[in-house]
Amino acid sequence: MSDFVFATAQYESGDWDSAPLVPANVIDTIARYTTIDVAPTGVIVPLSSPNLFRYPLLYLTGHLPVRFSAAERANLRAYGERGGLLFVDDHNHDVDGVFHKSATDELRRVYGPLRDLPGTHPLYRAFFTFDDGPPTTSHELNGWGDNLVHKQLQGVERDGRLVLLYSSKDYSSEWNYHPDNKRFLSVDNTRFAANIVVYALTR
Amino acid sequence: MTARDRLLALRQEVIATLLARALLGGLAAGLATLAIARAAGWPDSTAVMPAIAVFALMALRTRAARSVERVALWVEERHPSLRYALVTAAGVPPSSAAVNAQAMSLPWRTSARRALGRALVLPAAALTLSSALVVLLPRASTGGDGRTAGAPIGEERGSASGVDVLASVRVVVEPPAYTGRRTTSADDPTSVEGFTASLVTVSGQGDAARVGAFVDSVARVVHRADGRWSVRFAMPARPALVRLRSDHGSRERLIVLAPVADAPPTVTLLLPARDTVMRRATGVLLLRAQLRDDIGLRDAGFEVVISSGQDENFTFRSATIARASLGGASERMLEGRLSLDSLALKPGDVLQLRAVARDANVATGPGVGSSETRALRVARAGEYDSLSINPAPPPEAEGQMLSQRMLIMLTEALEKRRRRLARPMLMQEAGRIAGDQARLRKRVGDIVFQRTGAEPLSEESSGETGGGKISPDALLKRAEEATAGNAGAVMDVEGDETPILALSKPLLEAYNAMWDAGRALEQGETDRALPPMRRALAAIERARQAERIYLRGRPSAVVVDVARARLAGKDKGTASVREARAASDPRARRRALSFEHATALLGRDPSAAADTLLVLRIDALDGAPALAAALDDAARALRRGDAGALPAAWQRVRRALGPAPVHGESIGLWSGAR
Repeated sequence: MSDFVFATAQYESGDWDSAPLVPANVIDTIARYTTIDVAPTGVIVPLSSPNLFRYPLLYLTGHLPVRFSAAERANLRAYGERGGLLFVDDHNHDVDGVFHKSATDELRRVYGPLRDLPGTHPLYRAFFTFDDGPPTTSHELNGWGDNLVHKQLQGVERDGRLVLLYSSKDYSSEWNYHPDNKRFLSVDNTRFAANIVVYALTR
Repeated sequence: MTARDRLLALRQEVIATLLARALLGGLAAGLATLAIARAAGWPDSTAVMPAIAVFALMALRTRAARSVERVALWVEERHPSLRYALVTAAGVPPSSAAVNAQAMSLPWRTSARRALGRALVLPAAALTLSSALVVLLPRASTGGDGRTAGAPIGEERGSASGVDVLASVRVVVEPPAYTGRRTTSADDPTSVEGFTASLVTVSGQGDAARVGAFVDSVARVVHRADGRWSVRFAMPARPALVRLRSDHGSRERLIVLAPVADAPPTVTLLLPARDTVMRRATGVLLLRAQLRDDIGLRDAGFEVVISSGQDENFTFRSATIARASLGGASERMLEGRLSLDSLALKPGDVLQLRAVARDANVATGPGVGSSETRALRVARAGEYDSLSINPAPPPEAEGQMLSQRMLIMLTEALEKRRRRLARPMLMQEAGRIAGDQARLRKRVGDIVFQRTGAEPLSEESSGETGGGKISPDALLKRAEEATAGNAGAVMDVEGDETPILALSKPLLEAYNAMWDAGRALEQGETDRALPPMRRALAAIERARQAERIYLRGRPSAVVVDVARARLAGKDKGTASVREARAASDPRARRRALSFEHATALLGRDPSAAADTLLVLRIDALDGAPALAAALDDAARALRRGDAGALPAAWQRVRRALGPAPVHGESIGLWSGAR
């Protein structure tokens, strides 16, 4: 088994599979820039499954309202306590949207209050250096969703380590393309994914 | 008086001065050590040895005055003009009158006395400073000589003024009004429980000016009334420590605040019972939810969110329906009706609903509880085939299987009556079954030949007339003709068979068996017809199982060619330093270490051990209630000085800490028996 397997969270409510190409793209990025032994395909893990604990990083996205079941909530809580990092991205890129409202509400119940991550957070230097904090997405710059460029990501830390990373920047749209198409980009916009993975594996 | 007589008197004064200086120095050293010892919580006796040592060292200086000549030399040092006259006059035998007169020519005794007085200034100043230190430096929290050995901590000796303002402490807890609970009080508690935001009053007998109060290191105002002191504050949301100090910190008491959180309501959605996919969203949906709260419910309702759209374009509507005011009831059933027609749901819309209740907590809340969410989706036009809406006819293979089974049953019934039936009647009934068998055979033949692309068979077609049965080779030949393929050429094969043959072979076998059965039935030989009929049934069943292929499901995932992509990126990052992750439960480890520390303090300083347990309890209250209770028992036992209850309490704490004891240092290597 490879050192790292990219896992996508499957939850009972909402459209958890709204960005099906993100896993392949992130896997390609990990192979492209790092020497991490990465599995060529991702896995889909139900949030209520104990298999969750096999994966140090879990990716969760969607457009629709997120309502965790009691089992999902308990599993996620244990996942954070045992050292897992949950990366949640709002596919609506809309802080007034239902995904953001319902997901942050649920995450607050599981992890406690979310706080803005400063631009000096180790996450932004875990592999590539992002001096200005999280990289912007074309969806933000094009004024989609809430028409805002979000300066910061949010998160929850335990013992000096992130257990939850929440993004309103819509990386799910930004990274939802086949990795073969990276050759058309002058700057690879998935480099931040390497930081997230390296952070999850080394902290 | 001769010079020698004066020297002898001076010698006595020098010795007395040196002894006084040693005494002052010893006292100064002792008091300085005492001040440090009290601040550090060491026993006062620690100061004795330094005092004696300093006194002894300084007293050794009296050796300088062991002879009159040495005293004379000391004087001559200060008065060189004597030119050894004084030393000579001090000698034995007595010196001459001239030498004596020369030795007495200067007032050396006065200056010597002045020098001796100056020698006492420094040790006297040191004594003053160390005395000030003893007064000014605060005494350590507990322990030391402030408490008699073996006595319970609550019976510590009074403060400097003789009255211990912390000897008896009373704690009154007033719960928030919305809870409707009564005020409670406790005397000398180690721990206080109460709802968050309860008003806590800690009070005691004595002067308020001598008491300092801190809640989680934040100083609180101490009030004075009727000769008593009191501190008031709200119960915090998280466990906290109240630290009471008296007389400049020379006496301290710890009280743990254990807040009881007002739990949010528990909400269970009873109706609708499960998620649903609807073909048309019409009618009325009954809603029902059960609500419970530990204190009281304020209001509740059903939250509805309707999502419309697909892919990247979604719109949402939300509303709260059947809102009800519950007036502080602790348990209630919430019911409502939702008209689906009024929502005007379109295909693809998703209706999510859940019940939400708020409690009456006006102090820190309100607490909000919600039920599981039910999703009701209106099916899109293109996904009806995934819905079990109307009963569909059985699949083709199932139909044939049913038909063949029916024919077998008819044949078996005829076989039972065969001996009783007249020949014409037997032939008539067998012929009817043979006709049905022929029609079924024709349908099977149609399926086989539709796959090959050839024209369906018919009773009149050449396929039938060409000998009835069809061999696999003939079938393959027909397939070749239909697909203009090359017989025997490379095809996508599994084993030795072509795909067409692999799929059609069981049906072909059934076809041939039906042919045999039909021929026997046409001759009225039902007993001979049954075996091939059963073979045909078994073959159809095999074909049915072989063809159960499901094409629906998730699209296949993109497989990344990791080897090709490896390190092909244009940018280079910097791998961060890999840091060891903390133990799976660092908090449990910290708790265990803290308890080991308390155990180490147990013999040396029980009061400090009790304080350590109370501080540890603050942490344990957050998620380890069993440990918190055990720690409270152990701290109480320590406070009472109950040596009998202590081992059992300690054991309970160890058990509550967990199954894996942690030790701080490894055991040394075994060096063998000697």
